[in-house]
Amino acid sequence: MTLNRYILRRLIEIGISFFIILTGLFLLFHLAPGDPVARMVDPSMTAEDELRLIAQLGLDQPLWHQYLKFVANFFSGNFGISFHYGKPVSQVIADRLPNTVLLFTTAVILSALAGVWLGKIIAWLKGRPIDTAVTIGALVCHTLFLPWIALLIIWLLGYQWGWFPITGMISPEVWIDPGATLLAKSIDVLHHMVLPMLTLFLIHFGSYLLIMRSSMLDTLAEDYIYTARAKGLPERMIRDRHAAPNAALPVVTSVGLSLAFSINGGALTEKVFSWPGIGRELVFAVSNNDYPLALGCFLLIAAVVLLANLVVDVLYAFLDPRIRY
Amino acid sequence: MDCLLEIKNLTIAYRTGGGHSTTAVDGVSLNLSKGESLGLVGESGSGKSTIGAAVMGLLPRNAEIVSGEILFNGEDLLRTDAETLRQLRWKQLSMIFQAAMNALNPIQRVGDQIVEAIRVHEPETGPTQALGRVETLFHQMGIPLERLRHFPHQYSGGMRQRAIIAMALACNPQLIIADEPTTALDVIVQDQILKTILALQKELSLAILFISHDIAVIADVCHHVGVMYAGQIVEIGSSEEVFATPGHPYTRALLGAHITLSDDGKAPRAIMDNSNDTEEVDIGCRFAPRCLSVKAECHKTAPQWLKRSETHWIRCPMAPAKNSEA
Amino acid sequence: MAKADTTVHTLGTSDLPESYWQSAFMDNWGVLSRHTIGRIGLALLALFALMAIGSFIPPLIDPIYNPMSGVDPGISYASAPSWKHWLGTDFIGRDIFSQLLAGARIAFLVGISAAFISIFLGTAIGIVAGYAGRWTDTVLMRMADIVMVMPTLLVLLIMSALFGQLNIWTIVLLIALFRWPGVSRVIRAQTLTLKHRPFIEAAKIAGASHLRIIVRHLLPNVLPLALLYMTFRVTSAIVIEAALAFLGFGDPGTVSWGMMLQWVWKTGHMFQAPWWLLPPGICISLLTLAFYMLGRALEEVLDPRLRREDPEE
Repeated sequence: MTLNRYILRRLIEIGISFFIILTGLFLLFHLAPGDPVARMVDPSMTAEDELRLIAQLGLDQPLWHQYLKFVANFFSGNFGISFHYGKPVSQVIADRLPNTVLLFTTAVILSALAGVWLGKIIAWLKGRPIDTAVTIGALVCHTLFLPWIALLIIWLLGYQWGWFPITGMISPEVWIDPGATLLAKSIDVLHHMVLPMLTLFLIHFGSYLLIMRSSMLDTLAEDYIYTARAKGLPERMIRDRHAAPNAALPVVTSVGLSLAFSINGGALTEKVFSWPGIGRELVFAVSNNDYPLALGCFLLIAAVVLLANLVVDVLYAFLDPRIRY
Repeated sequence: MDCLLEIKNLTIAYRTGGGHSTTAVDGVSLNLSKGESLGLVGESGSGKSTIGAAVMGLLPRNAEIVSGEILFNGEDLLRTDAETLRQLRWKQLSMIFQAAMNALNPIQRVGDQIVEAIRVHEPETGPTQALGRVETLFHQMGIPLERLRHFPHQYSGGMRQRAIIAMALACNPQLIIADEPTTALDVIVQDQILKTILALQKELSLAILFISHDIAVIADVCHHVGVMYAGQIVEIGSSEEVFATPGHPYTRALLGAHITLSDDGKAPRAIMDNSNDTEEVDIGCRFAPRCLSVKAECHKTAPQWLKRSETHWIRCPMAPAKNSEA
Repeated sequence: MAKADTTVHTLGTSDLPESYWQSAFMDNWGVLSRHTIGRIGLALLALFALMAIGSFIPPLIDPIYNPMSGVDPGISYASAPSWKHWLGTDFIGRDIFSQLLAGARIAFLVGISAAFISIFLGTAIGIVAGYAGRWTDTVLMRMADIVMVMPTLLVLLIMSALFGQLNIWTIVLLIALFRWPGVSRVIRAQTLTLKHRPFIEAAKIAGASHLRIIVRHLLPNVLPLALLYMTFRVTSAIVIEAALAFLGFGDPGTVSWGMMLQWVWKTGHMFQAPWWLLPPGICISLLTLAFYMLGRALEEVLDPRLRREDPEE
């Protein structure tokens, strides 16, 4: 089927999946012990504000009606008011989302590219000491406990050597200065980004390298590699033009599959480095019993994961001509 | 004789782990001149594909050349360094493989793959020039030109085989090794491909080493034929001689097992089904366990070559004299 | 091309599933015990198992060694390693070494139980989906897709928000509930290949009920694969629990390595107490590594053999 139809079909699938998640959460919020109303409306509000909000969110209606309102609200971007911030949840999310996207996508893309590149080289050197060393190194990276390595990085690079700031995304001094250029601000953000990105990079790079390496080794057994050798192509060309592009395809798939795991890591990283993203917001919201915010963050992350999976699938379909044509 | 390819006493073994090794090719010798075609026929495991790989220098890592020479235009390919061999490949000798789905890189356009072969070996050729040559080849092979931009999975089996042949011819080699090129195809397409190969051979004066398990295919295309069993050549000669008056019992069995339209109802005689294990038989004739004309001495003494004519040699003392029936 | 050295297994004609399972196990054990990475993994695991078992000892020696409540009357602050406290003490004077041992116990507990439950669920769902086909299959696999997409840690956070502080067994259950899809996919694929094999057809013709076919014929052939995946599930369970504890949402009554890291971090001792910061993290990473190594060794041993060995031959 053509690419467009494939995308359309996947969008519908995602829609259904998301709907189920939405419903599941709704049921969870209402069936969990405690007062569901207190979950949506801050008990510390004044009585009339509370009543107004209850009416607005339809919390005084029968369950069925509430459900519909809930869904309608979701699609209109209304997740309620955050207890902690007193602002609409959607606004908090809108503030935070770009930060997460910036950190997370950069880290994933960089580590995927690096993993694929090094994995391709290492697979070709299989059996040599450097292969063993790098493979073990990648394995160790892959199994490191993220919060712990984050703490170590903070300790070493931030505290001991003082090269990088250890929390937050920006230095207020830089941003408050009215004469600060865009470049200065960008550099400041980048400066703050290094440590959290390094953390995310280390963990993911290891696994992508291992997958690429193993995929390359599988590819080497294929007929067309034999053909390429028979054609008298130089080794490097065989590796880079024939083996690597084919071997990289499963890595793309695995990026998609490990997305959920990566998001866990992203949230942890944000929390440790106080990076103002959605992940950190979710953790805060849960600690503060800020239910609307927690729900909103979670739903958004779920939506993002689903969409990211779609992007990965489309990318794969685009890269593999056997699917495209 | 102007010998293009001369294999002298080639013995190749595979290390099978745990210190053991299996002899895949045992003391094989053959000659091939320019413009001639030699078919190597035998069951799977007889060593014929190994010979093809050895000539191209593409043996797997666990293969060991125990002894022998492979002389190509006088140069021993087994003693040539890897880089020279790489440059030689495709330019002087190329290969046609089975048109398996993955014989060509699945994510690269077919035209590009052939252009690649040309430009690697003839770097002075510009991309347009190379493409022009590929177009000519496709035209020769009867493949529509728009297929150049397609991917291998979009080709039918026969077309894929033709593309592989076109690729093999791209650098105008002198020798082509065809390893089971028609095995994956249905009979009609098979016939077309064989006719194409035959025509190309005549037109370009190609030397072809044709490897197949199908004796009918060899009979169609080759001037000479070598019958292989358990790593050894048991009979070698011109096609007319071998097919008209087969000497070795194995050859006769192969021909007997083959059904033709003119057989009028005679049931094919199957060869006794046993494993073609070259490790087991060290003394005596390797084919003895399955031979229908076996005598007591066959198990004890290794068979010697018997010369039937200048071009026809048989490795079996029990071969009946010329003009007698099996 | 190269000749492959195929060893042919001659199986007895007795009731196939059991003897296949046994002979396969004995062969596989032989190969596994020679696999270097597998051996390192096993050695590490043995070390941690020893730690876990040994975790009961320190409190018996002296109450001050109790990981949760053992306070040394002489020390009530974070102190460096000493003869009395091999890894020093935490911020309220509790012995870190005994905490580490207790953490090993919790890690094994969480890892193995969560893995077990998720394998159980995953195998059941995978077999049913593969065997039943059609609607059941589609629905189950849809469900698997949705569950698989959810970041487990975040789901657990939401649960924590709704249900308050989570108990360790709840955590285990929740982790298992969200980790089964991976297993079920593989099991389903395997079931699909096996479904049409002659020996299943034979069983059907012989009148075996579906349940019998599943339990007696499919399960033994699918189990090795399931167990293989168990090793990977164990690691992810341990890591998720540790991450949850690290964030402060673990079971406050248990001392897990993640919890230890949380204490180091939250009490600001991160920069001053490397003897406290390093051990828990090293342990989590090493244990994960050990299970991973074991998994890899098992994979090389079990998978190709599983594909090659045909029960009806």
